[in-house]
Amino acid sequence: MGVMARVSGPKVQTGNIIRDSALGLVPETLDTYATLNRSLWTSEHVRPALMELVRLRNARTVNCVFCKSVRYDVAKADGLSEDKVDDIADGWENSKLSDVEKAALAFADIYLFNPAGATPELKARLDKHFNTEQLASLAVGLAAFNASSRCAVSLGGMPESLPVSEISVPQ
Amino acid sequence: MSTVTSFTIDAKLAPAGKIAGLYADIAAQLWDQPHIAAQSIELCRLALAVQHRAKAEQAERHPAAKGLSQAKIDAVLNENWRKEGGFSEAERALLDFTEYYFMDPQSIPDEVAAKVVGLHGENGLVCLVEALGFIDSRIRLSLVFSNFPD
Repeated sequence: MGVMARVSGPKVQTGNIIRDSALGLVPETLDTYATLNRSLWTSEHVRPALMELVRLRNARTVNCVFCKSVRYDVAKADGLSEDKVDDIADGWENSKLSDVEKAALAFADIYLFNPAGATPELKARLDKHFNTEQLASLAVGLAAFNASSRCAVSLGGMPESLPVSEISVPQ
Repeated sequence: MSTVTSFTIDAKLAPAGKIAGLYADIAAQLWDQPHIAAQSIELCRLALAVQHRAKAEQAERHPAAKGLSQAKIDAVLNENWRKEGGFSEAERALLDFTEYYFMDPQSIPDEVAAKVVGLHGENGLVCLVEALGFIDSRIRLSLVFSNFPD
């Protein structure tokens, strides 16, 4: 992994972690990117705690140290606990997570590890717990989290580890 | 089941409402920016499609990349772009980066990233990883939804 950051952030800092990151170097997408990131946490279809589990499963898989260290306050307020976060390690199928949470992680894992291996059986499992709007929302969230974390890793400057910290959704 | 590609995935995601629209908007904006030419983004999209073994995706051509030579398209699709002489150094830097990106972003060597920065600038590197992230995620979702019953 690149230890040194490969780019510098924008010269003018705003206090918004997305706008002040390297993403600020592509102003053509920045406003939409920031709005998408904010909107994922106010989706009417997926609760923040479930969205956060999917985000953290992705973060572990991509090994984005920044992404792994963060907990969104809206997710914690919605019931996300560190016990649940511990349960999303490999082997989560045998954890105490609920059937809904396990179905969401099954969807995340097929996307992350073998998207061409998705099956009608997986869809049937998802259909037991999610309607069309909820599944589409999980899909958009997962895709956005995956793109962001792969972006962060690709740009280098990732520390070996970081302490867990709680943050608010950037406005 | 119906075949889905990154060109048609938005219909599957539309039930998500606003966030689906924003996700589609960013993907579209990445084809219309001043940092990396759309023809080069298209080469990277095709390279990702090849790595994913996504046949339907490989058959698509993005309208923003008009003018891209068939010889370059074929070289990427046949995975022999490294041996073909028609690519610029700037295109080769992007394709090289893309192949590492697909395998694992952690595997991208500093010199490969530095080459992109040297030829496309820091803005170009950030634009590239944004574009790869959105294209890759759309291909992944397309493959998943292609295997789900309608």
